[in-house]
Amino acid sequence: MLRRSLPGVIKLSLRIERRAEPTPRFSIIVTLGMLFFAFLASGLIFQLLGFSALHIYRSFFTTLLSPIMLEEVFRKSTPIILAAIGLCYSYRMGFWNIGAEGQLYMGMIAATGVVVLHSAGYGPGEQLLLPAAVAASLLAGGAWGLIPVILKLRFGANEIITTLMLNYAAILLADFLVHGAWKDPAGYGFAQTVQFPASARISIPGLSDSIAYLALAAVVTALTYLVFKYTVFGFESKIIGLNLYASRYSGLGINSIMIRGVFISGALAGLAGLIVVSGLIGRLRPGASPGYGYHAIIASMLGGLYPVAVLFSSILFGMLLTSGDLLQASIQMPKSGVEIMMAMIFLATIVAEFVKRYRLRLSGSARGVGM
Amino acid sequence: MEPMTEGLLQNLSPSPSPIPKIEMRGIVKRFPGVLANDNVDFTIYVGEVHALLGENGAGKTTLMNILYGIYTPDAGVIRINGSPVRLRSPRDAIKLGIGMVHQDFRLIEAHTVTENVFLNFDGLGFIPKWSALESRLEEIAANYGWRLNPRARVGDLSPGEKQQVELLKLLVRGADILLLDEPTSVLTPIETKMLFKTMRRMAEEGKSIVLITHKLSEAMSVSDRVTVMRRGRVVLSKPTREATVEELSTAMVGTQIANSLGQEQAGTRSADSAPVLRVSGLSVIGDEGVLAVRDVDLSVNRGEIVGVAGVSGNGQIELVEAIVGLRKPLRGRIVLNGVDVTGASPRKLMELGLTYIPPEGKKWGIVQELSIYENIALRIARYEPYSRMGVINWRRIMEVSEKVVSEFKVDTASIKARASSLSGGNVQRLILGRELTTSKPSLLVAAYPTKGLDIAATDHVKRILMRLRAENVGVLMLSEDLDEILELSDRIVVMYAGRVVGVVRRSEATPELLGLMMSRGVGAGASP
Ligand SMILES: Nc1ncnc2c1ncn2[C@@H]1O[C@H](COP(=O)(O)OP(=O)(O)OP(=O)(O)O)[C@@H](O)[C@H]1O
Ligand SMILES: [Mg+2]
Repeated sequence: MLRRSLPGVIKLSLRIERRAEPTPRFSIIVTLGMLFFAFLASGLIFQLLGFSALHIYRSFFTTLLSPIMLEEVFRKSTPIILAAIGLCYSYRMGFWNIGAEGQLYMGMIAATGVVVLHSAGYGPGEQLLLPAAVAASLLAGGAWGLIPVILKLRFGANEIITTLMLNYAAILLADFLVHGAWKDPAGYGFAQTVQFPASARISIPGLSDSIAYLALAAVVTALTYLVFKYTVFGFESKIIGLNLYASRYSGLGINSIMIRGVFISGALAGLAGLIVVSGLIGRLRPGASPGYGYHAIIASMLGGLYPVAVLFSSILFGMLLTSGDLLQASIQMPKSGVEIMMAMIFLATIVAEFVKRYRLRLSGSARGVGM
Repeated sequence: MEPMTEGLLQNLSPSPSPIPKIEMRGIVKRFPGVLANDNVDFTIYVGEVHALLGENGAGKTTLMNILYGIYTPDAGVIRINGSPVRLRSPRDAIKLGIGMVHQDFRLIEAHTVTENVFLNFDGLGFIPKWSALESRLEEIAANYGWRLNPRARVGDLSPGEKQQVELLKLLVRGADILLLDEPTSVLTPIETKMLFKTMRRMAEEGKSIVLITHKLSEAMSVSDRVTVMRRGRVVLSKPTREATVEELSTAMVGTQIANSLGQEQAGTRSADSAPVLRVSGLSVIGDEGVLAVRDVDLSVNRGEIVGVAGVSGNGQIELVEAIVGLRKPLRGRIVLNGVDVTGASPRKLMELGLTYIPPEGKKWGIVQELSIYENIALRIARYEPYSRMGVINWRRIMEVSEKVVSEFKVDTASIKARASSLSGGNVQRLILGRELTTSKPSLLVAAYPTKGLDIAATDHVKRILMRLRAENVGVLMLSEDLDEILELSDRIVVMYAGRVVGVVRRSEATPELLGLMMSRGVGAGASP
C-alpha cells in the first residue's frame, strides 16, 4: 500500500483490489499488453548497454520474414513446444516440475544410447532404429519425471527442489558419457558421440525437416488439447490442481493421476530431447540443449497452460533464440542478451497474472463520519 | 454537518425513538442472469439486533457484502449516521466501523488466536508486542464472558470459539456494526446461546448487529427487528415483538408452508436388523496427533437412521472421516455390507455403496473455479455412461446436471455458471443433489446435511432422508441440531471425548437426556 497526502486536500491512496474472475479475452489482452512492456523494457536495457534497440527489434521480426530464418525458428521452437506442452500436464495438477531440462537430457541420452548400441553392432536393426530411439527417449524422460513424483507422494519431498537437482544429475550424466564411453573414436578427440545414421533421423518425405518437426509438435499440441478437454484423465488432473480436498472426497485416484501426468510430462520433454539429437544436431554433445527445458517453463506459463497458446508462446521463444544467434553474429551481442529478454518476459508473465486478478486504483480515501 | 445535528436532536427528543445507524436505500445489485438485490431498503438502528431472513438465494449475503464493501451496488445509496458514504472495499467499511463474519470461517488454523486476530492489522509496528496484544484480547473476552485462550492454536478450537475469534477480529478494529452471516449454522445449541448472550450485550453497548439465520426461533428470541427478503426484495421489516412466526415464514416463501413432514415418523419402523455398517473397536488419530476417536462400536442397519449427537469437537468428524475413507483408522474394523473396508479408499467405498455428504461443502464438496456441471462431473465422469474408454460424454453430464439443478432447486442462471457464484445454501443443495441423484447408496453418511439450508430445503432434505430409509438405505447422520436428530433418528449415538457414551432409542430420547449425555459424558440407554 502506497500512500501520500496532498497538503491540506484529500488523502490519495493507491489501493489493490480483487477483481471478479477475468474473462478469457481480458486475460489475452493483459498478457499481450505485458509482453509489449517486456519488449519495451528490454529494449531500454539494450539501449543502455550500447546496442540499438531498434536494430534488435528489427532482427527479432526479420526471423519471420525469410524462409531460411523461419525454418530456424521452427527448429528451435519444436523442443520448447514439446517440453512446454509436457509441463502443462504437470502444472495443471499443481506439480511444480522445473525438471524439463533434465528430462530432456535423459531423452537425448536414451535416444543416443540406442544409436550407440546400434553402431556397435547390437540392438535394433535399421528399420527399427528410429522407433526404438523414440520409445527410449519417451521412457527415459518419463522415468526421470517419476523419481520426483514418487518422492513427493511417498515422502512429501518438495518437487521444485528434486526436479531442479535431477536436472544437474542428467546434464552431468550426459557429460560423463560423452567424455567417456560414448565418445566418438573417429571424432578427432572432440567430446561428442557418433553421428546419427540417416535411419535414426526424423523426416517426413516431401517436407523440409523443420516443418516435419513442427508438424510433430503441432500434433502433440492438438492431442493434448483433446486430452484436456474430453478425457476423464484430463479433467481429473485439473481437479487435483484446483482443490485437493474435493479430489480426495470425490474419490479421484490422486496418486495414479499424478504419476501418469508427470510421466507424460517427462516423456514429452524426453521427446523434445529426441528432436534435438536426432533432428537438430544429429548427435549428443555437451550443452546440446541451450536450456530448452527452462524456456519451456516460461512458455507454458505465458500460454496460461492452454495448449494452443503454449504452442505460440514457444514459437516466440524460438524467435528469440534465433534472433539471438543473428545478433551475436551481426553486432556481437552476447548470448546473455536474449536471456535478458526472456527474463523480462518471465517477469511480465508474473505481473500479468497479478493484473488479471487485482486492480490498482488511485483514489481519495472514503469519507468518514461528518466530513 | 447537518446530519449530525439531526442525529443529536433525535437523541435529545423525549421519546426514545430508534436512531438510524445505517440506511441503505434503493440498493440494486445485478449478477449475470440474476437480480440479487432489487431496490432494497434496509435500515439498521443504534443498539439493535436485526435479524435478516430469507430463503436460499434471496440476496441476504449479497446485501451484507455490499455493506461491507465487497461488492459495489449498481444503484442506491448508503448512509452512515446520516452522511452518504462510498464503500469500495472492506478496508473502507472497517474504517467506518463495519465488520463482517462470513458464512464460512476465514481463519488460519495453524496460527494462534492472537496472530489470527491481528493479521493485517494496521499499526502493529514492525515487531508486534504480542504480550500486550494478548492481554488486550483477554480483556475483551472477559467482557463478554468468553473463555478463550489468546495463545491457543485456532485449529484446536471448537466452532463456537472460532466464531469468537472472528468477532474479536472485528472488535479490535473498533467495529460497532457487526454483520454475522449465518453464524449459528455450525454451532451447538449451547454455543448458540452463548453467542446470543454476547450479541445482546453488544447491543446494550450501543453496537448494531445484523444476524442472518434460517431459524425463525433464533430470530424471534434474540432480535429487536426483523427484515425478510424474497427474490432480491425486502418483503417485510418490523420490530420483532410485532411479528409472528407464521407471518415471517409466509413472507419468506410467499405462500403458507405446511409444517409437517407427515408420513412415517422416526422410530416407528422396525428395521430388519441386517447391518449395513458395523464399526468395532475403532480408534482414530485427529489432526492434532492425539486420539480423537476412542474404541468406538457402532452399527447402522438397513432402513434405519442413526443420528450422532455430541458437542462439536468430540470426535464425530474424525469418526465419520474414518468411515468414509478420508482418515486412516489407528485400530479397529469397519465393515460395510459384510465387506471389511477398514482403510479402504473413498473411491472403493463409493463403489461399494457408500455416499457421503461432507461437513464443509465449500471446501470438500465443490471446486469453486469450475462450473456447476463440471462440479457434477467431478463425481461421475469416470463412470459409464458418463464416459466411455476414458472419453467424457459432456452432453450426458449436462443432462444430469440439469436434472440435479431442477430437482434440488439450485438457484442459478445456468449450469455453466461457476460454483463460486452460488449462495451458501445453494452450494449445499448442489452437493446433496449431486450425491443423491448420481448414486444408489446402501449407506448414506451425512454430516450436517441441512447446514445453511432454508426451511423449505431443510424440509426437502428431511423427506429425502426418510425416503431413503423407506427404501432400506442405512443413514448415519451428524447434526448439531438436537431437534433434527430427535425428529429423524431411529437411534441416537451420543459421543463425548471421542467415546460413544450411550445409544438411545428414539422412543427413550429426550432433549434433556441427550443434553446431559453430551455435556457430561454420562452413559445411558441400550447397548450399541
Ligand atoms: N458472485 C456472484 N456471481 C453471480 N451470482 C451471484 C454471485 N453472488 C451471488 N449470486 C447470486 O445472487 C443471488 C443471491 O445470493 P446470496 O448469496 O445473496 O443469497 P443468500 O440470501 O445469502 O442465500 P443463502 O441463504 O443460500 O446463503 C443468488 O441467486 C446467487 O446465485
Ligand atoms: Mg448467504
